[in-house]
Amino acid sequence: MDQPTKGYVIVASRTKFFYVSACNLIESILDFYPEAKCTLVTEERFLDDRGKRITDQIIFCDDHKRAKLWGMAKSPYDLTFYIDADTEVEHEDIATIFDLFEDNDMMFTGLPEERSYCYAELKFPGGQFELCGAVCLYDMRNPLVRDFMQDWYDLTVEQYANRWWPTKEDGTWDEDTYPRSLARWDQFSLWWLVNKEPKYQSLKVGILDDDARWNWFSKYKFKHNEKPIVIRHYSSAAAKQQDF
Amino acid sequence: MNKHDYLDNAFWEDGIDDRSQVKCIRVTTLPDGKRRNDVMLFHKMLPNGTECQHYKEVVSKLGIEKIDNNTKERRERKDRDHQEKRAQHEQQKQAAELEHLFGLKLRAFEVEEIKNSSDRELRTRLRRAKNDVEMNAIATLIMGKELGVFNGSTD
Repeated sequence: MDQPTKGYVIVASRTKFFYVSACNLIESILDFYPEAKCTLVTEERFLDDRGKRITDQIIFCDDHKRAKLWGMAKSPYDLTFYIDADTEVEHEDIATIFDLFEDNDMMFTGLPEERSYCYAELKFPGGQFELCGAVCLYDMRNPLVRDFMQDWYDLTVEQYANRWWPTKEDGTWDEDTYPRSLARWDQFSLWWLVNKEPKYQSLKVGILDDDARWNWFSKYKFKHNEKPIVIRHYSSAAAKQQDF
Repeated sequence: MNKHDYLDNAFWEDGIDDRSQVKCIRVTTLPDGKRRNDVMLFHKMLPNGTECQHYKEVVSKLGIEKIDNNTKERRERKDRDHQEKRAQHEQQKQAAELEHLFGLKLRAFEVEEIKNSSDRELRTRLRRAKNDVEMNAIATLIMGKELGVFNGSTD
C-alpha cells in the first residue's frame, strides 16, 4: 500500500506581514526537517522568489479574511498539518507531528479554562469553545474530513457575511444561546460543526498531547508547559501593524 | 456602646518578631444592624507604659498559637504571591522582547541581500538569534558575504 503523503499547509493573505511571516515559518520548519513538504497558500501579489524557493507547492487565494479555511480545504497532502502564519518553529519535534494522530481524524490544540486568561471569549450559554484553530492536524484521505474542511470554510463565510446563525424553533436567530459576539470567530463555526452538525458526529476529533507546546502563545504562563516549545505563536506581534 | 468582635485572621505586624504589635480586623455591629470592618493595629504597650486592653483582648480571644500560625501562613502566601508576580513580570518582559525580535527578524529577511542569500546556515542562525545584537551581527555577516566584503570583491 502506498504511504500517505505528508505536508504542512500555511496560508498568508490580506497583508504582506502574513506572507513574510509565512516564509519565515516555512524556513523554520525546513531548519529542523529539511525534507518537509510545505504548501503556501497566498495571494499572487505577494509571491516572490523566496516563497517559490522554499515551497513544495503554491496555491493562490483571494484577499479574504478566511482564506485560511479555504487553503486548509485545498491541502494537496493526505496527512496535513496546518499552522497559522504568524508562528515560528523552534524544535525538531515538528517532524514527528504526523505520528501523533493516534486514531483521530483531526487534531487541534485546546482552550482549557486554566489558560482562559489568554482567550477573548470561551464560554457562552450554549456551550464552550474547546478547540483552537491555530494549528490543525487532519487526514484528507477521509472524505468526511474533506467535507468538513470545505463546510468549515463555507459556513464561516456565511457567518462573517451575517447570512448564517443558529436558529430557534420559530426560525429566528438564537442570540440568547449563541450571542452574536461569537460571530467574529471561525472557532464558532468549528464548534458548531464538531458539536451540532449531525453529519460530523462520527468524526474523531482530538487534542494533541502537551498541546501548549504545539501552539505556544507568548502570553501563556510558563507553568502550562514543561517540554520544549515546538511552535511559538506571535499572535500579538507589533510587526503586524508595520508595513513590509 | 456598639458591639464588636475580631476576625480570626489576626497576625503579628510585619517585620516585628517580638509579638509587640498585632494587626487584626475589628467587626463592629452598628445600631442599625449593619456591620463595619476596620483594620486595627494594636501595640502591646501604650506610650504611657500601660498595657493596651485591645491588644490583650485580641490575644486572649485568638491565642498566641493561632496568631503565630496566621502570621506564618500570611508570610508564606505573600512570598508566593511575590514570586509569582516576579515570574509573571519576567515572562511578560521576555514575551515583549521576543515579539519585538520577531518583527526585527522579519524585516531583516526582507532586505534584498538577506532575502536572496542561499547560505542556509546563516539564515538559520539569524532566525534563532536570541537578541537584537546577535541578530544584527548575523544580518551583517550575511550582508557582507552577499556583497563580497569578505573576499575583497566589493569594488
